[in-house]
Amino acid sequence: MNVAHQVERFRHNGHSHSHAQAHHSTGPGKGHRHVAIAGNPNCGKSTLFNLLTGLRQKVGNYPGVTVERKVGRFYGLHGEPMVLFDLPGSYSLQVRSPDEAVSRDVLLGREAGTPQPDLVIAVVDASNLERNLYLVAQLLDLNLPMVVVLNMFDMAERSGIRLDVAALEEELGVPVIPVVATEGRGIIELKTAISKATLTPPLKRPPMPEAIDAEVRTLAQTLPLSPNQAFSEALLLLTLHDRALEDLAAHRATVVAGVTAAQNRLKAEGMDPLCVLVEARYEWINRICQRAVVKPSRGGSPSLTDRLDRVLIHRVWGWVFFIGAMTLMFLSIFTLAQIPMDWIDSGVHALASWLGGHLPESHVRSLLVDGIIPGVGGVLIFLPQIMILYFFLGLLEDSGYMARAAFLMDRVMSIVGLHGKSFIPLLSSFACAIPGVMAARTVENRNDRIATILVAPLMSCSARIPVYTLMISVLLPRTAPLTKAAMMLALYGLGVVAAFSLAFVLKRTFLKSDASMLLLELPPYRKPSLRNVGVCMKERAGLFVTRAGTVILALSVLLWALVSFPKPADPSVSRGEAMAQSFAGQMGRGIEPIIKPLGYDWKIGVGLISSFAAREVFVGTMGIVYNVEGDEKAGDDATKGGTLRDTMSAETRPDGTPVFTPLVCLGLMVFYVLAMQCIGTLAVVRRETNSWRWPLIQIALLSTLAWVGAFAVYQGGRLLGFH
Amino acid sequence: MNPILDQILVGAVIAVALVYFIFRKKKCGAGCDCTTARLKRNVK
Repeated sequence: MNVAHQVERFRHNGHSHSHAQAHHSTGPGKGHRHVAIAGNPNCGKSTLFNLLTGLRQKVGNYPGVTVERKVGRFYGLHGEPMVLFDLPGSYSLQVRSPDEAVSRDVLLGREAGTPQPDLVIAVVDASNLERNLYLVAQLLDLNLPMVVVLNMFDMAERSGIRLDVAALEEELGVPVIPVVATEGRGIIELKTAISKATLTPPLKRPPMPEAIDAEVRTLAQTLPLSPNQAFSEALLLLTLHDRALEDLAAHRATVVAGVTAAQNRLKAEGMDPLCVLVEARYEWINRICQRAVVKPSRGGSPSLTDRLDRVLIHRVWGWVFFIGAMTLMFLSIFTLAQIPMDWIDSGVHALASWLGGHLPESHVRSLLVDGIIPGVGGVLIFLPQIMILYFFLGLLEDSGYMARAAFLMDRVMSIVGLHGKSFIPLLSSFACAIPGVMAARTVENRNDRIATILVAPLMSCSARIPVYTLMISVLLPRTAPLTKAAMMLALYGLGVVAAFSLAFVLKRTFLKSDASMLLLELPPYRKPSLRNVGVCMKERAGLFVTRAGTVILALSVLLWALVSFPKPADPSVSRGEAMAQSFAGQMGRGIEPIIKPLGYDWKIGVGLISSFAAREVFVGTMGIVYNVEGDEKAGDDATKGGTLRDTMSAETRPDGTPVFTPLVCLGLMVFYVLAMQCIGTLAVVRRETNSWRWPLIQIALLSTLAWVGAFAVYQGGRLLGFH
Repeated sequence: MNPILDQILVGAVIAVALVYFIFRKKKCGAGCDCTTARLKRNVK
């Protein structure tokens, strides 16, 4: 992919690709200086970006939050307009994943529709100068005006590291500014530095063996680019490995011939270009650090991060903390959320009663009272739970704990054969499987990637929360919140176990690949910023409410139409019978033979079918189905006083036995954990795998798994004497 | 309410809902901030 992009660059000779313009949130302006923020992952680039632009880009204390360049505008100290690019974190310009390629392409001016930056702000973590300076060395080779920001300077000082800023400036040949981005310290100095009209390209370059320097310059002359860009491109080309060169050869034979000849000449002198360059850069870094960095003696007491990590990544206590934190999160979802949920519930009921009392008997009244209000209101009621979930996830992300969770899970993932890089896609799938499936593209091995994509929908996404909560409250109506939280945790756990088990089977059958190592950076713990957590909660709440007001609203109208039409020829038939004859009733009855062995009736079948559009629609569907029918059963308006949970608990079969028995509730929950009921995910899997084969295998596999799981719970439970 | 007006109103709402549902721009879903979607277009 990276090579293809490189080829494209040569074909277009630096001009834009048409397709990339549309998604600039702020297009690069004419007469503006273009400034790029670059640096290692998790060194505070997005925090600095937000500080300079006043925007609220998502930040988090773990690597890989930014996977795309973000654009914003700001003004220098003298009011000069600037366009700022926040780039994904990268350890090197020799990229290994697509998000790193975005950084490289913007910095080298390959990015479509974006000129090469006029200025680079290289952000480095002041506590980890040795590691961060490698990328700085490559950025210096770009020969662009540059400012180095020593971010988190306070943390470095607190941990006893002393940095000689003047010596660093002298060694690097560019301005070096100590900054604490989270507190805004050093920002005036930074703005002063980047506003200087006299800012020049670096006065020095990292040393490079003469033979390599000569080959790079010769190669650069053959490239149809500006001298600066040609030098940087030639330097990267010279370090490409054989396979990347083979891919490139198909498109640009003359360039490849030049690169291969240069590499061969260097090899004849006993030099591997990449190895020699890496060694030279690290020698340079060591020399700088010896002069400019004084580290605390090793005899000092361990840092707070080290002391916390002794517990949090311990092979026993780590898991105890992890499970405890998750239990606390789900407990809060059931206790703290109850009060605002009751308020929303009362509001929804009051609105339905008021409309029911004021509107004349008509289709419009029925559409509002039986369709839209229970459909949308039934989903909207779960907003407090979603917000509490993201409050806790925000705290865990911002504190730096998520990387520890990844570390703990990597042990389990390596047992089942999944690559450690699969953790982030699977973690993303807890919010929604779609970004999870997309994030799987960072997994380099094809079989690992396909396995990750196939199991990602088994992670319980936020759309399942309304279904889980409703079914738990029907199953355990008067149980303590702790039991309900444990039940919720068990459902999430079941999804994880199912995903790992399926991955285990897939990786040992038709998706075999060699195990590979995971390198994971554990960031220092930081005090979570309530502002960042608030931004995360607001974003998720906004998405949830928008969905309720758009897709769920439209589906509620359609479902009401499906349960209300066609009207029976004989108007004297009961409303329950009329609904059974409706389109929805016919659909539900159509799949009844398949779902009957699971203990479900056709009304649950209607819920299952509607869930394919969006899982949370199941709750709205139950609201509509039982509201339409309940009008007759308990007199007009009577059901609107009771909750959906009470209505469902009271629902009986023709023989008088309850529909929602404990086994049916449990089976239904297991079904929702395992089933892949999401058209959006299917479409994305098709896009990501570029064929219908994998999405079809996936839906067949997961649907079978869900049916077998629910069947085992219901029939197995009955065999054991439960009901 | 006038029965004809009642039917026209409900029919129009159902039609709008149906058209919206079929032709809505398919977004990434509940948890997607769409940056990954943009990333995909960028690296193609």
